[in-house]
Amino acid sequence: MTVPTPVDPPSFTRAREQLLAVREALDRVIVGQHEVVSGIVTAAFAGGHVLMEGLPGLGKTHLAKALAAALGLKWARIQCTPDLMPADVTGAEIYSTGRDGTPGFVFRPGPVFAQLLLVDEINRATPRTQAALLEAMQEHQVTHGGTTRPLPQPFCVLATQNPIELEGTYPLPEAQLDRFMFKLRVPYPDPASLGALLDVSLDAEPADELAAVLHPSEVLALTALCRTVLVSGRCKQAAIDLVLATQPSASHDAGEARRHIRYGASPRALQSLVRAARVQAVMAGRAHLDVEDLARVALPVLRHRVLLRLESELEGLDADSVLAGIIDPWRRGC
Amino acid sequence: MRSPDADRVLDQVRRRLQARRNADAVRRAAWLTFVVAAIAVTLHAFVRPVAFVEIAVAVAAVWSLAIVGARLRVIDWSDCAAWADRHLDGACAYETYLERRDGPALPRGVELQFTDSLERLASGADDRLRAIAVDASFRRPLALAAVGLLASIVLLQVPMQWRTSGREAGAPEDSAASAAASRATANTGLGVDTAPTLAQARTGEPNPLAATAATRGSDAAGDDPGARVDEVAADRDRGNAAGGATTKRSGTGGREAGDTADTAENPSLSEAWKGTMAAQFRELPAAPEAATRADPTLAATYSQDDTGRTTAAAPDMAPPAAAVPPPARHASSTGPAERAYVRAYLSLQGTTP
Repeated sequence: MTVPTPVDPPSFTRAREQLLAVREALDRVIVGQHEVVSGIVTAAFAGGHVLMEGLPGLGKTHLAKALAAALGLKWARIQCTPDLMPADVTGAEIYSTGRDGTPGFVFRPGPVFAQLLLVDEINRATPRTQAALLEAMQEHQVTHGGTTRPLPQPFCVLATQNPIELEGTYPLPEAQLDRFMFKLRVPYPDPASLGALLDVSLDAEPADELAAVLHPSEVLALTALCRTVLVSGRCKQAAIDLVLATQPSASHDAGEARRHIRYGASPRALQSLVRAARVQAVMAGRAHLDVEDLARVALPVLRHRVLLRLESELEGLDADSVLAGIIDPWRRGC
Repeated sequence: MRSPDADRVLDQVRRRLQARRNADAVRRAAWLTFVVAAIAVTLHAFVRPVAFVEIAVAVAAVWSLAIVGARLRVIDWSDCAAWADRHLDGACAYETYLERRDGPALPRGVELQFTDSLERLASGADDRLRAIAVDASFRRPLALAAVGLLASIVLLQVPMQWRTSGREAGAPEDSAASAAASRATANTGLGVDTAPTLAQARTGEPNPLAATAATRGSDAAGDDPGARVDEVAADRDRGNAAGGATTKRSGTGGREAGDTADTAENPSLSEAWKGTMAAQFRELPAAPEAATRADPTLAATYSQDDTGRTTAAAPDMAPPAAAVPPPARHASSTGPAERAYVRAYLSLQGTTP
């Protein structure tokens, strides 16, 4: 396992250039998915994890590979099935001969010990296996056999799930959903993007040919720089107001939320909101946060953290439409 | 962390907000001036006369309060920063700067970038500030205030002249009668009070009700009951003599006390004291007090002679005056229908009316 050496944080101008370079590199590979690419870059540099939801064949796995290549990260993939065991994720102790020739139990790290972990179709794994990812995602460490082992830095989990064919699946519990910073919906590309996709990928695999834009140490430095972005009291209050607006029991005026939302966003959502907005501020070349940065990341941060009422779901509403009714008035009021 | 450029922009914004607040105060005071003038005219028309000095004082108070209020309310720096962020594309930079200005030092990279951002913002702020003009449109409110004041001056003068001329026209004719009527009304309050007063006047006794009348706020002449009663009688005579003038006054100056039908002839007397018998009674000579009153300090004794003395004294009393018919009325009390009926009856009888 390679632990990158931290470097001095770059200037904000240099950081903006690096972030935009990563995004442009991914845009060249993942054609027609600019919003998804921007979201993944934002979450990666904010130190968060991403849950991607989309139909098969939309390039989710391809995107993960391209991101790992662009950031120079060691990546691993877990294809989740109902018979996947936790040890298949975290690793297991096997009886083997050590380097000194003495036999004994040796810990063999699982795929979770990677810098970028792609968990494909995560909702097909059993809850027990899903729970094995909890500690890794939140604490960036794995405890096995009484021994706690830290995960490499940076560490980012990209999980995918299929919105159809839900038979035999195990929907992620709320506790695990809350650990994802973003939930990104991967839309179907428009016709023009489909043509460009053919041009790019017909004769080669672009993700395999993608050169590293950054070194992992630079990723860490950029992540540290993003955490220094100044947040004014007004922006803090705006973020708090937005999160509280999703709470049906809050004293704030959240009429729309009260009608459709059963459970609102957690305080962790508030943290994720500000952290992701800081990356957006760096992308804009600023050392201070703006309310617009919060608005840009509000939907992917909140959409998997609100639970709709059954009546609203039966009416055909989804989290995006309900949150749009909350975010727009909030943005005008700021 | 200090940024002179950001401080300069915030100071400019503060002066601008102060100018806008002053403009708002002037505009508000102008509107209030118009409202004050309208209220004054309404008061003058329906409630009481209003002098222009009162309007001037009210307007001066309104303007003083507006100007002093605008000067006393200090513009908050956070308001300046919020305004700058909103109107100068600050993107929360000025608010962030205001919070960090007096705080601990920032990391070097952050401070460099942030200061650079502030400088870039400040370089374009001057042009933006010039582009955003302060709303200084005082023309409409000031014009309205001036029109309101001028209109109030004119309207306050016109009704006052009209009222004064109406009063002066009727005053010479009935000033005496009016004064007498008012004085008598003030003295007596009601005719019931006057009756014993007149009786006391005939007998020469002090008037026990005079003190009561005096306490009701009547004339200062209430100290001397006899003089007051004489005055009342004189007033009554004057009131009778000036009956026509009183009637005329009521036609010009409105209805006042004493003009009503029951008290027009003698406002100092009640209805019961205006009849024939009452007039005869008033003309009776007053009986000696000793003959009509007993001495409460002496014990009652019976004497046979007393009956004779009483009987003998009876012829000394003046005989009652003969009843006189009521004065003939000059005006016929019959109405047109009655006269038509009488005329028709007489024509049927063959006689000519």
